[in-house]
Amino acid sequence: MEFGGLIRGFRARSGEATLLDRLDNFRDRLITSLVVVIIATGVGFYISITFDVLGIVTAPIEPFLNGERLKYLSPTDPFFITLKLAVILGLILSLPYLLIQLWGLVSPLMRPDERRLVKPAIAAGVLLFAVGSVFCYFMVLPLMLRFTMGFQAGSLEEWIVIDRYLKIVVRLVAAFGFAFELPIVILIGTLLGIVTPELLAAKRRHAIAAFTIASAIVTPPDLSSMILLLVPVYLLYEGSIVMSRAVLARRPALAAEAEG
Amino acid sequence: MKYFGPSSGDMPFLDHLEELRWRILWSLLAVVLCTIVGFVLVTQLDVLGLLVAPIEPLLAEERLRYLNPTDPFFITLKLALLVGLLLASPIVVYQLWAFLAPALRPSERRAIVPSLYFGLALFTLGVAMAYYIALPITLQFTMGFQTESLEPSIVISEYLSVVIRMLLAFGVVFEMPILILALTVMGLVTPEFLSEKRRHALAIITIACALITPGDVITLTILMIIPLALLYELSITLSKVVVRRRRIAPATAEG
Repeated sequence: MEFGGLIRGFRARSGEATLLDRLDNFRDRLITSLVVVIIATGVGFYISITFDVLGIVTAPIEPFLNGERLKYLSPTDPFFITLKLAVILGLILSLPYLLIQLWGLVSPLMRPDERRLVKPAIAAGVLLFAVGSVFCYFMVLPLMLRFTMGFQAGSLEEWIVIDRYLKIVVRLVAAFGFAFELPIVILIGTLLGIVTPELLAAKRRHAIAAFTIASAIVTPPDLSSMILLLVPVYLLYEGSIVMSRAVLARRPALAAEAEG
Repeated sequence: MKYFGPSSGDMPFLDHLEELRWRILWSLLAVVLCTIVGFVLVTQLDVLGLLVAPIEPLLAEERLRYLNPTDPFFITLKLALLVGLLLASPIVVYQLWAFLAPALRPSERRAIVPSLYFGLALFTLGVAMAYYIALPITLQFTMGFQTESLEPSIVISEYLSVVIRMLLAFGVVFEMPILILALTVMGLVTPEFLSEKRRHALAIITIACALITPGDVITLTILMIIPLALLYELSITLSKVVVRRRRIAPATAEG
């Protein structure tokens, strides 16, 4: 009885669903999401053994290998690398479903004005992530490899191992993808009134310092990829200042609130 | 040769501690001496070649690599220790036995000696099955992926860890009948219970096999399930024998 009273005490502010209903809802969404991810990973496994997915991943380093293939050190590696690719593919394939589930979970808790922001933000976020990782794959990776592998060519010979290479690629591509999300973060911040274009412009120097440190941490320890990350991120920062100015100009009410 | 052979059980507590100390010292001495013998064996005979043999057909005339200049020495040392432990194990087991035996009842003493031999035979069977059947299948399976973009450059340390893990896993898992037998002797399970719960046991065996076998090889998992299911049946029969003998024994003892 006491427990029931406790639950009733937690009755949500919206008045529609109790905490238990929420938990139930959460559990159902979690289970279906897991099932979808597992199925999608199965599909991903099929894709990664029928199509040459690994070939796409290794394409940037191929010109530097003199016709040789990448090596693996443990006899179980080829299988586990295929499995890893399958999991990554599975997550990408099930991403739309996961986002819908997350939306269903979070949207009842949002105010209408917040809710209106989410859909365009997600669309733009996915697009920007894709732009960032494509930029990384086609521009940054080849440049970085040319730079780092150009040293000590007289006394060292390349013997690139797939899992080390894969680690660098995944880390770099993910870093660029996430870094390119910066405008979304800033725009949402502006719309919610957390930051203003004036503040961003005033703190420009701090932002550049923070970006430099972050990109030095995120990229492998070579200068080229760090600079290649820093420059576009800085440009995106300037771009988002301009954009948030434009957004505020179109919404006088928000602008007044920001000033007041 | 203080406390090397069997001892009588009637001793004060401190004497037991003294005995334990000597038994541990004898065991350590045996391991050290056998490791030295093992070192000679490993350097004279091609022990490593034996472990490498399963992967050789998949390597296209190449040899396994080592990445660190100190690796060949330390791998020899590791193998020597392994061989040493193997050679010393009868002495270590005997010391353990000699220490524990006075504390056991005669009926328990009579049960343990054969079960040690039986356990050794089962362990060997498991290891042999892993070496001759499971290992080649696993290697063929895992190395069959991504052949167009990857090239094997197998490193000895990685290879050895896969091999040793697999041999040990099979050896340990094949000890299942001993465990069931021991449980029957202690009266914790009965043959009726075991045959009743057969379906549950099969499910558990299947899950355990799927977890243990490296590389999640489906054929290998099945390959491991079959002998384990047979061993389970064998242990039901054995525990029936144990129970029947136990029923006869008190009767003859009384009569």
